[in-house]
Amino acid sequence: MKLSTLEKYFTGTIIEILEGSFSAKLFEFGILPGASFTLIGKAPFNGPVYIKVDDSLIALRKSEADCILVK
Amino acid sequence: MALIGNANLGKTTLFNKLCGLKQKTGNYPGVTVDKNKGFFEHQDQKIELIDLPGISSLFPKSSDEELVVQYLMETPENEFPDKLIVLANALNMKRSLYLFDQVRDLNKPMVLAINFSELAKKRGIFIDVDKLSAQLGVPVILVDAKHKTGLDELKDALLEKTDIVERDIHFVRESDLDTLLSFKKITNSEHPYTAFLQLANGGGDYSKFAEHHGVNIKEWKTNESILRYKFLGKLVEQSVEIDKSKAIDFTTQLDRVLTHNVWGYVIFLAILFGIFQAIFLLAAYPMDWIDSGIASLSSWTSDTLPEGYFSDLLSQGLIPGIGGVLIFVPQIAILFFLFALLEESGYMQRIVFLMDKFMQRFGMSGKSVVPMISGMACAVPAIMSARTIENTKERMITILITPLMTCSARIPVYIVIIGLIIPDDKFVGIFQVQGLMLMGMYLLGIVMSLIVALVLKAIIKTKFKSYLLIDMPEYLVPEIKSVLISVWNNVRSFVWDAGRIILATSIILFVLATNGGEKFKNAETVLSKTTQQENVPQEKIDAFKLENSYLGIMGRSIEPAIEPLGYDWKIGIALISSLAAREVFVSTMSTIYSINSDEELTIRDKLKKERSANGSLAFGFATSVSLLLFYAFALQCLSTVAVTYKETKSIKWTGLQFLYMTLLAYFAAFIAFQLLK
Repeated sequence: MKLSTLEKYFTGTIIEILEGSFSAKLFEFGILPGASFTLIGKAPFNGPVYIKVDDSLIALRKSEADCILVK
Repeated sequence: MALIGNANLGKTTLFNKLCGLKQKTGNYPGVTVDKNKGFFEHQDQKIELIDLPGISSLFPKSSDEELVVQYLMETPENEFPDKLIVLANALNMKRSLYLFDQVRDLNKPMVLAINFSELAKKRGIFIDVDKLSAQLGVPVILVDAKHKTGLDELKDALLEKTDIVERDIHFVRESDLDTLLSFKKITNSEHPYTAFLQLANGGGDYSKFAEHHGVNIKEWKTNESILRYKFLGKLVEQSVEIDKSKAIDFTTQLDRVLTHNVWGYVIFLAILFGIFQAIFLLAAYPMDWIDSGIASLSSWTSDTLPEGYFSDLLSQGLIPGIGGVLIFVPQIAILFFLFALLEESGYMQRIVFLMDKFMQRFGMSGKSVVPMISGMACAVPAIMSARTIENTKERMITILITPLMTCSARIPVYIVIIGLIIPDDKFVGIFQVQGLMLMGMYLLGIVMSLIVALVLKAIIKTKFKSYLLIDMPEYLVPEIKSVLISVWNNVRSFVWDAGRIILATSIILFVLATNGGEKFKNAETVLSKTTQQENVPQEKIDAFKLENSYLGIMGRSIEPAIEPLGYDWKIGIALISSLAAREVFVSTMSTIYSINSDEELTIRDKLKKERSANGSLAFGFATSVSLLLFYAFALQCLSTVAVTYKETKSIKWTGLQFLYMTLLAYFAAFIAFQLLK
């Protein structure tokens, strides 16, 4: 599943980060395969996605969330 | 010494707590690297501390991150800080140690300060400092900047000599180690990680090496993150104990409301609205005191001092001029105070989250909201804060439109003019109409900036895809003392920077207004000749003198250009003198009109009484609206021009900004006056 398609409050684990221009940056933020996460919020009109990864609260655009595969 | 850390980790609070009021904010225009410098004394030693901008890693994506990395990599040995303080977050050790782990491999003398230690205790987080210190090979100090805990220990640690020993390399895969070391040999780098950074950040010959040896930089970076987090995960597991039963997730609970799809926006708008009302209602009283205080000081000076040029210069030139600066202080202080609260509480990042999608429609990023909102205080720091925007196009648009936001320098101009057309005691419901009108001017600035952004979005081309990846800091109750220090620093530099320009302008204006050519010197004779009267009334002589002073001549020479906007030559003078700084308008007006009158009135009363040559009110409705629009759109601020140039390093963009704003101002004022007159 793509992270971007999930509903609010979904909890799961990141399995893969698809190669993209910003994927290295995602890794730096601790968004790594194997990390557990909770989806905290989604801004309206396909706005940014707000997640909790480990203990970090992070917001990212939907287009970036598209590259994060989770289960 | 220098302070490094992620943004939003209470870095500024710690800095303020260590240095108190002993700070020097880099004077905006002309400084190459903007860094806040502070000073403190400990054990009889004077320590200079530099507060570097917050960064998330040593791979810079935005220009302020670039500044920090450049500073760390390129500062020559003899100028390099004696010690680095790297700040981490006790509430989220693994993530905040990431930056430390990178900096650690630069092998410079450093201290790791872990902030929020008190809060962490309450949440059941226990950190084994000795274990951490042993594993990382640097002194580790628990601090809580807000509660002032650990500050002395930190200062002690800063003065102690520390030996930094190179650690085992854990940031590249073992199979890549030989390649890295051979690269290090070629570049003659100090440490393996410096070589790594050069390889990853530098182009040119370095990328040739990468190509030749089949190094995939991106893969290396990704591996670095994975390996470092693996290392840190283990480290945190061993040295940090978390009592889950005490964990409270205050932030995410609050964010259910504050970032809610509906309530989030309602609250955001309510906060903005509250800010505007606060500026108007709260600041009104001190502003009145200052205004009437200056007026009475002025009359006291002219009454007490012996009559003469000097007394006039003081009471009609300098004092009203200084009054024009001081009158801003309440509003600027309130604005900076409220913005500091938004910033320190962590709410600012929620605004970024809420507004990103909206801003993208206008070619900007959610991060552009921060410069736009701080542009309501002052465009200069606002334009500098656009540095956090990674994408060049988004950043350029933000910089170009930020001066359209209603900055505090416009407020006195607006207040004076709005006061002329709307009486004080007019209310709609519980809202003062003047306050609503001022809010209307803020809205006008916002709407116009978005329109211009749309146009720029269509014009500016970019080949880079933009992205947004931000930390949402935990909500924290702002530390009032630290907030007040920030307010003080901002107000001080504002009064100092604007004050000098205004003071100089006031003196120049006064001199120009009280000197003139032949007609000025022989005003009485010329007038009696033309009117064929023996005793011309003093009033007429004064008016004739002002008209024929050097200042009057300047004003009249631009009159043809501004007449279609509804302005006479006196307003023309104010326009000329406020080219460098728009707030000079009010002080110029008060200087010009004091020269003509013996009564000491407040600025507003003076303007209300003023009549133009044909006897109609000089500040009628049409002229006032036209002036409001002119000041809303014109870029009359030398500091903004300077900072735009500094930030864009481009004459083209700086010129474009000045040009589009001037044209916009002129035509908006023109249309308004022609329609309303």
